[in-house]
Amino acid sequence: MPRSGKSQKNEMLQGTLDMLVLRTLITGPAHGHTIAHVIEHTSDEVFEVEQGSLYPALHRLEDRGWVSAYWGASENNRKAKFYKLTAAGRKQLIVETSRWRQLVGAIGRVLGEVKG
Amino acid sequence: MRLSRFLRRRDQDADLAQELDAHLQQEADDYVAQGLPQEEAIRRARVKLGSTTRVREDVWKWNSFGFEGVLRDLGYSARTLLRTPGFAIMAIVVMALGIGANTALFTVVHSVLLKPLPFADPDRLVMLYERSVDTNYPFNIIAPGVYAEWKKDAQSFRSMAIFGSGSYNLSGDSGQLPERIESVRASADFFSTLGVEPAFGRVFAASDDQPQSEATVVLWRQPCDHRQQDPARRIALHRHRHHARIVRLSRRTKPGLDRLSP
Repeated sequence: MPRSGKSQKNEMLQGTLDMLVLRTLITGPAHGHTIAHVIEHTSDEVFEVEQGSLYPALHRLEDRGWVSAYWGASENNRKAKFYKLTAAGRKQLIVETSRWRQLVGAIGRVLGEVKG
Repeated sequence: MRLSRFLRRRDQDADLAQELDAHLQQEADDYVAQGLPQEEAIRRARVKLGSTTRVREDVWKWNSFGFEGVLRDLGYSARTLLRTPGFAIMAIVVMALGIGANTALFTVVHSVLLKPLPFADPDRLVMLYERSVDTNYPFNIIAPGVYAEWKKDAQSFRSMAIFGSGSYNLSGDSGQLPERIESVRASADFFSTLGVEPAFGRVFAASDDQPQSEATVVLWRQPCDHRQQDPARRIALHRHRHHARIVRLSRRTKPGLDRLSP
């Protein structure tokens, strides 16, 4: 079901999908289906990656030159569009990751130790 | 960047459609691997992925400019008007007349009411009249003697001048064809009251305003026949010889008169 589990599943934070997609591609080129699966799987199914956000994101990343795309054959020999991290994309991932760490650290410090 | 995206958006859309289809197949393959029949697998995959058209529309919109909607609206209105040409022409004519009438009216209002007079302190400039008992002509132009009395007694005015209009036959010294010109006869302080100063030559002086002094003529448009640039020369008005001064007035003044003489 596309939207049924949405209320239980955490909605992805604005702007974090790009970072997660870039992170996924660090292990090698992948197509949209794999990217979505990997993100969902490694987040222990906390995130649900919908087509409606994944493909616009990929399109954006390609337009900014952070990933490059090519058509190839998938694992089960189907035609699929593969995305590959570029050098600029790698740099961007480092920038975004450090910014994210900073953000999380800051929020953690503000929240402090909340019991319950 | 933006433009190249815009120009390639058709290809990109076709590409995206193919890509989304591939994704659907992958998803279906997963379900088949779980043991579902092909048809059910595709159905489940479709349900899971939702509308691919919406994804394509989002990307298409991102690749486009905002003004396309405006262009489409314009095209639509043009087609609607062309379908009913009679109505269209009527509407256009009515609007054209309305705009034209408004423009004409505003032009009049602007020059009559809004645009300040081209004189110094136009908001403090007033015209004084005598009150006449004849109700047909309630505003009577005063006689020079009355003006002299007014000028002597008036406390509220910084400067006061008198003028009246008329026309003369203007001819040169050497028997050129005379020319009929509109004129204003005015007292010496006429120009200083209006705050008009000559850029070239001089206008009236107080000494010109004496009964025994010779009448002084100020011309500010060279009459066609008298082209010499002599700033002080003799001309004839109604065959009486006068000393003429060619004056170019400064400021943006164009009082709409041809000549003045005291």
